Amino acid sequence: MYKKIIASILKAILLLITVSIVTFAMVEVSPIDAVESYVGEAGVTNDQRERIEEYWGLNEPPVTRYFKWITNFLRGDMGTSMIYRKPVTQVIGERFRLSLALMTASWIISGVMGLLLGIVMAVYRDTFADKVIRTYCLALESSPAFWVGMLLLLLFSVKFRLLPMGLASPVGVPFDEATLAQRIHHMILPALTLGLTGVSKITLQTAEKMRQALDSDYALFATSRGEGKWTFVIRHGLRNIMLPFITLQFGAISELFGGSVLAETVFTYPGLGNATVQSALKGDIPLFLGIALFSSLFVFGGNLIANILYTVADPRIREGAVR
Amino acid sequence: MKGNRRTRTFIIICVTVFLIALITIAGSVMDPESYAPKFADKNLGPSVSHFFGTDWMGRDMFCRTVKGLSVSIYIGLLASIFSSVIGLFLGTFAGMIGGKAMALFNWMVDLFMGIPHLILLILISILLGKGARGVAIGVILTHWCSLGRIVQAEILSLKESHFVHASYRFGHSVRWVAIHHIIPNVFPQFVVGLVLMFPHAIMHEASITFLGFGLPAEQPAVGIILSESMQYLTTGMWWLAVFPGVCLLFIVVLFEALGKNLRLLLDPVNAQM
Amino acid sequence: MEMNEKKKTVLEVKDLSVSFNMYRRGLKQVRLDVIKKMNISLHEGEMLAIVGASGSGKSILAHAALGLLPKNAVVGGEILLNGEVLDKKLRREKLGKDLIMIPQSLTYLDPLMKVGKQVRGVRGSREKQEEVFERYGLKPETANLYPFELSGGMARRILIATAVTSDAGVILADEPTPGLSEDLARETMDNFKALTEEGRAVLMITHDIDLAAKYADTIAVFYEGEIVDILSSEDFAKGRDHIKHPYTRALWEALPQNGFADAYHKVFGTERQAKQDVLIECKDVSFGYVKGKNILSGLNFKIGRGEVVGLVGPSGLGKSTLAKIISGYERPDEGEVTWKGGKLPLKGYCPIQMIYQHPEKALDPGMKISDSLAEGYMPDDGLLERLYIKKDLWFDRWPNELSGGELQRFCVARVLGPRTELIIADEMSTMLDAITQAQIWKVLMEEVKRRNLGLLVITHNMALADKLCDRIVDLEKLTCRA
Repeated sequence: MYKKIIASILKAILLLITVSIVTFAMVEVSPIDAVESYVGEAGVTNDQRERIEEYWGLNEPPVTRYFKWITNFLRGDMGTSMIYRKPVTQVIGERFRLSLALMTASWIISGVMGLLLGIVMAVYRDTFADKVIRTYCLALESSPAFWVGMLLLLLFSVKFRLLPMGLASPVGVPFDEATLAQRIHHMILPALTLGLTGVSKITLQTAEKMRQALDSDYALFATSRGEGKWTFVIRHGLRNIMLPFITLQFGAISELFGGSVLAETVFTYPGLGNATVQSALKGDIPLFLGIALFSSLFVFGGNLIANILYTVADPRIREGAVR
Repeated sequence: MKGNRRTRTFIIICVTVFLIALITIAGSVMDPESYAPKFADKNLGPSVSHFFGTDWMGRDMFCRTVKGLSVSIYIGLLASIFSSVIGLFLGTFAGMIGGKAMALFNWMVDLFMGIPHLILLILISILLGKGARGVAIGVILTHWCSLGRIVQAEILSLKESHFVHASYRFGHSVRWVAIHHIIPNVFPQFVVGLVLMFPHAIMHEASITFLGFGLPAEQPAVGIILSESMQYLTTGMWWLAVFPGVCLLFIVVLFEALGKNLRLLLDPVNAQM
Repeated sequence: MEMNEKKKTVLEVKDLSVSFNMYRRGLKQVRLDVIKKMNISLHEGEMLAIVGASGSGKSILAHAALGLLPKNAVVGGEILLNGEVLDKKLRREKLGKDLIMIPQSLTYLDPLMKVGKQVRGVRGSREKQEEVFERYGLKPETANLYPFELSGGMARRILIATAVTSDAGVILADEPTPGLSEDLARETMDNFKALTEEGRAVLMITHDIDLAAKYADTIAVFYEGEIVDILSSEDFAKGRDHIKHPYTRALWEALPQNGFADAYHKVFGTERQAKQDVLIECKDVSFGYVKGKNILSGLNFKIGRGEVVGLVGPSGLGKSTLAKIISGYERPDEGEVTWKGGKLPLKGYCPIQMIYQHPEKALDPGMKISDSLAEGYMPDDGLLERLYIKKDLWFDRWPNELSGGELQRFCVARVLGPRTELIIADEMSTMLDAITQAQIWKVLMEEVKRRNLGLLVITHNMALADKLCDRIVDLEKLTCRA
């Protein structure tokens, strides 16, 4: 079991290194001109350009720069953001705090709702409830996250004026001085957007797994011994769908991240997703690279946790009986 | 379970294909004048003369949406076809050779899945200087993974199946077995995978365009339309966002229905009802 | 019969019919009648065996009684438990209490729940479970194991224990001895017998008529959706003259120890080929088949031209892995396998051909039967006829449109190509009814003898191996658990 865990950690590290090389190389060959994006519209003379390149170390060969970047990265120094004029570490830190709250909230919303709706779908298969939930899931699965956000915005902010249009705190109040209630008030819509769009996949998958459990031989046997449907779901169903559910839930982090980029753009929520778009649009290479690697770390972390939980929780894998 | 499922499936496939073709063709042959700015008609709500209303430049939103959808369908189709071919090729390669090729394949899939999709898309799109080409290639390069995995898994299980073993025993070559047993069995999954990839492709295309990394602003694409409408939401021009979005949703649902019904027809045994 | 009349009828099936609406390739809708007008009754303390071919739908009866049929099933007639019509309401009350099922295999247990808790179920108590464990000689610690950790013998006892924790008077057992070794099957059946002596009634559903005849009081023969004959097992044991129904008589004759083996002995007598021409030889072959847990080692045997060798042992002992090693698909961990003293030719038509347990897996589901058959060679009409293959009717069909028995006939036909020298039959007839089994073995044996081929018979059925084989290798005696 420990061997398995260590192996998956090693694999994640190796993959992360590859990710860092690939992203670095891609940014390197992209047409973004770092100097131009630093100076902005003003324009530079060749002399100034050379000095800036030297200052940033841009005149060195790419491989050297990669190693410099990655060693500094490991020390926690990801360079300086060109658009925010602050260390990237600091920018990511500040932004991530906001995004993490948002993502956690929506992660819990989609997880709990998905599990419940999925079970209801499976238990009441082919009934009205099943069809309603299925239609709802298919509709949400087929609509882009940003559009769902826009609809929510139209409804709750424009029409009913219940919730704020955007930002993480009221206008004129810095985030650090905002009260908890104000912060939550601003987080509701983006979190709902993310949670609602995330819920469909988890619901459909949970329903599928629960249906398999309900169709299994052991369900047949349980029924033959007088266990009702809900007794079965609670006694056997839950424990058998829990592992796939956990994997799915942790595996959803990648999509959650992508969704947060869209939701934060719609609600001008100053989180990491917002910074991603800004850095990419304005050619802020250090920040973009930092975010790309940081987000991958996040995704791999999620997958790793799922893997480890799976290994620890399933007696069949724990005892080495399966593979 | 009412009626004959076969007939129903067949009708659904025909209707979806017809609708998709209709929108695509209507968009392609549409006169650009029909969605050109007419400042006299600006900011109109939905009415009989403008089903979806007009925007702040007086452009007819219905025509713009149809045009935008056909552009999206083109890009989506192109991207899905190329991407699924990549998936098929790599999955087959990994599945047939096995061993190291499979490890390499899995490694690549893990790599592509490890970077959040949207960030990778942004990266590729910037790399190729944004625009339609950037989006299309970005979508192509990021969507092959799941179909590739499916193909690979299917080939692996086919390779271990008794009927393939038996075929080798009768002295047939790898090529013969591939043509007679492997390809016919993988093909349905491939077609269904291709069709079902489309919704993802078109949604990612819209998303990336919405964020400003995709199609240029002058192009009437759904992502552009929705992105522009963002600025007018507060003024209460809800129709700018709602109708184009609903149409996008409709197209995606059409493709999903097509994919699921094709699967029913081609592979009724394994299809999840 | 007279005895039964005195006793109370506990379960009665009246005019039961079950059919399904199904979809085939291309979504063709088919209505499948699985049970037509079935009537049987089960009495206190009686063991009744329903015998029929695998896949003939006899399990549907148990499922119908327990209310476990899928939604696309159409049910007619009624089932009475202790004189009351078993409807939805009564079922909720009686299931697990008065009427209980003994599961067929471990897949009927929740893979993620400890067995003690499962044996208790929702109605049993811990004391009762411990008492039952003691009765079946299971250690108390066994309760803390997960199903996958059970050995074959333990698994059987646990499965029975699930039924015994209740006081149910009617016990249904669906294929209770699938692929078990003789010893284990006997132990299981003895346990069943003990339950009937306590006054419980057991309804057993099986394809194994031999087993049914040995243990059941009454045998009901199920064929094509109907009970064609009901007779006491004594009558069946007395032989041909005491069996009235022609199908039952055919079943009796098909048993290896009765007509089946005689037929083949009659054809070939005792004349055996000289065993000098060795085809395959295993030298000190060792391999592990469940990673690191079980190892089979030091296996030595030869198969010569014209020789029939049996490889026996219960399922899960690595027989199929050994088949793969012999046929050159896998390498042994130690030792070597030689073909005519050298290496097995890897290219071209392989002189070793296999017949598998599941014919539906051995034929490409996307290929018409005739194309699959022609992959090897095209057998002549004579052979097809002897295998009862209906050329005109079956050739144009897809594999999922024919039954397992019909498909297996094709699988036998197609390995009999002119360049075949050795045939490995891996549990070839395990899933088949006795008559099909007898027919295909007869043809296969005739061909093997006529053409002087080698044949390796892999089976868990000792009686079958005994009758067919010149020599038998018993894997169970070679296995050691590491």
